[in-house]
Amino acid sequence: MVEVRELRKTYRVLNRRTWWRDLVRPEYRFVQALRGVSFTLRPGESVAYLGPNGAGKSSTIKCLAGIIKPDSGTVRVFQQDPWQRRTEVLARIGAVFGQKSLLFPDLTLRDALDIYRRVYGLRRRDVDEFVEEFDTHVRVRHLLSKPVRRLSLGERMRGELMAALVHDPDLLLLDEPTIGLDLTTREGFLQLLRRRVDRGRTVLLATHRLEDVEAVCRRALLLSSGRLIYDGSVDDLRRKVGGKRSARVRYRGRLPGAVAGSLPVIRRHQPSDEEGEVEVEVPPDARPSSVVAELEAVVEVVEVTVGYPRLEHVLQTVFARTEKGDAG
Amino acid sequence: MTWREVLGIVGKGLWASLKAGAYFRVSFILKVLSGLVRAATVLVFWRAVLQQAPSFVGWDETSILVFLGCSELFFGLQLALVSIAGRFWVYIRTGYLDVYLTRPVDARLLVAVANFDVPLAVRSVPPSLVYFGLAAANGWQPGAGDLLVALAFIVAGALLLGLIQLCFSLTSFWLGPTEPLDEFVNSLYEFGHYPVDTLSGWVRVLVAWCLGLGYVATVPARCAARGVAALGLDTVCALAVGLAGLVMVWGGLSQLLWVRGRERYEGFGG
Repeated sequence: MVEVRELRKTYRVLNRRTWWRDLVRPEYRFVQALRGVSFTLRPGESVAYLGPNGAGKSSTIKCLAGIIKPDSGTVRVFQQDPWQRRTEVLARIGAVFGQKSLLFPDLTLRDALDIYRRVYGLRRRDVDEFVEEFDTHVRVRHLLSKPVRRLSLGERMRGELMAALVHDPDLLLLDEPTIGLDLTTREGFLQLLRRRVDRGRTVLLATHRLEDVEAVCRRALLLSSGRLIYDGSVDDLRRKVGGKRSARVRYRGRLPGAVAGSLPVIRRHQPSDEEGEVEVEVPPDARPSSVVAELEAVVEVVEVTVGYPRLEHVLQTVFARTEKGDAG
Repeated sequence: MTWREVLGIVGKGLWASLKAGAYFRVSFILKVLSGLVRAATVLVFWRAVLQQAPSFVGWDETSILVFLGCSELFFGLQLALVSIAGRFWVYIRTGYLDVYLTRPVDARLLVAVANFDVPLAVRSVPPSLVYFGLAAANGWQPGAGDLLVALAFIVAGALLLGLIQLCFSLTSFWLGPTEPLDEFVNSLYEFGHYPVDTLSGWVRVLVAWCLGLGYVATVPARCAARGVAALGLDTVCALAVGLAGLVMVWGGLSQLLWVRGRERYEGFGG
């Protein structure tokens, strides 16, 4: 579905000096955003595209969408060159750039959808059915008749996501799609994404939120300074990095010593007659829910908070291992 | 994408923009009122001019009133439909063009649709009606055919101005922010508020016929005020061919700049 081979892109950046020097004799430096990136995406795959700021994630997505022209290398999307065959390729792509709006400020969401219905040649009934489905995951119906200008950031983002998915694209290119979304909306959107993946759609998700990655993606691509340094499963990545996730559980009742002893590494335990709290480190190969289930068997669980390792930590660890040559 | 599909998108955009006027009613009413106030000041100015010279470079009071009506409609249409062409460079420099390039349609069309402001065109109707009404009171009796020809020139002229503005804006792919160029074109088109007969020599050739300023209101007003028959069908056809030629030249240039410029486009944040 997507094939990228030895993709390279260099940007020319002005070296700022005094304004008159910049005007008379500008000096440029060249920043290599992509240095020979290669990967393939198969239909039905959900892939996280991770890396620190400036790693080249957005540049890759722009090359895949035919927005910018690569310096060298090949990009094939649906077996076509997106730069040359932009219109055909884009008809089957849905793209979200979290920081830029696809909507029209003075128009309502309904009107924007109507314009996009024309762009993609959809029937009105298809759009209505799509809104119905989208609304069951992410509540948008009450926003449809509001001008975009009057929406909050979170509300606008719901509209952005809807506008990107309206034509049921085969490939979703998502660059920070959950910016500004509240917890419930984000969960609903991720659920919707999972359903799309189950239906054979492909997702490339560039994000800094590890929770989003764990919820949707099975495979991860790690990019550093324009080079791909990891291409493998998310579980493998977590195992390589080491389990630093934690589950903080507030419970009612008394936690038997035997159970407490059988738990993985306990970071903190505050027993109490009314409500106790225990924080447990979740091993790399276990799920937080299994730890919680163990506790639920003996006490009444009131609240669970899962702490994930920060992406920076994951990246730092992988980078360190890359230097030693065993990142995979 | 077929012409029918393009027209479908444009039609939907126009309709949505018209509806948007209803969401911002107070702003719309204020715009109409300000348009009428401006019309009043313009009338005072021309009344003063025509008192000094009853036939101003060949234009009497009635034809000046028709001219003002045409000029009002032209700038109303231009602002409503293609004014974004002059600010297209902002989309290039800020990288906002990215999102318009993610849709299977020409990004220039989508940017234009996103910026349609039909209420601005509607706003220009009351002042135009005032001018045309005063001209009618002076004895102006236009034929329907003459009015249609005039309207066709106005619409095509607005499209031409949009293409010229777009060409200057697209140089932003090479030059960076091109706001001064936009201001330059806008300044030239300020001449559109006066008949091109006020210009002379090479300035007239350059501004009126190379940049198409003559099509802003002078040609439409001549057609509407004197009538196509009086001007001569040959003359009107020659003017139409000239306008079509200008649209093709500036359209071709904008296409060339767009294709070459896109190869240099770097987007934003990547």
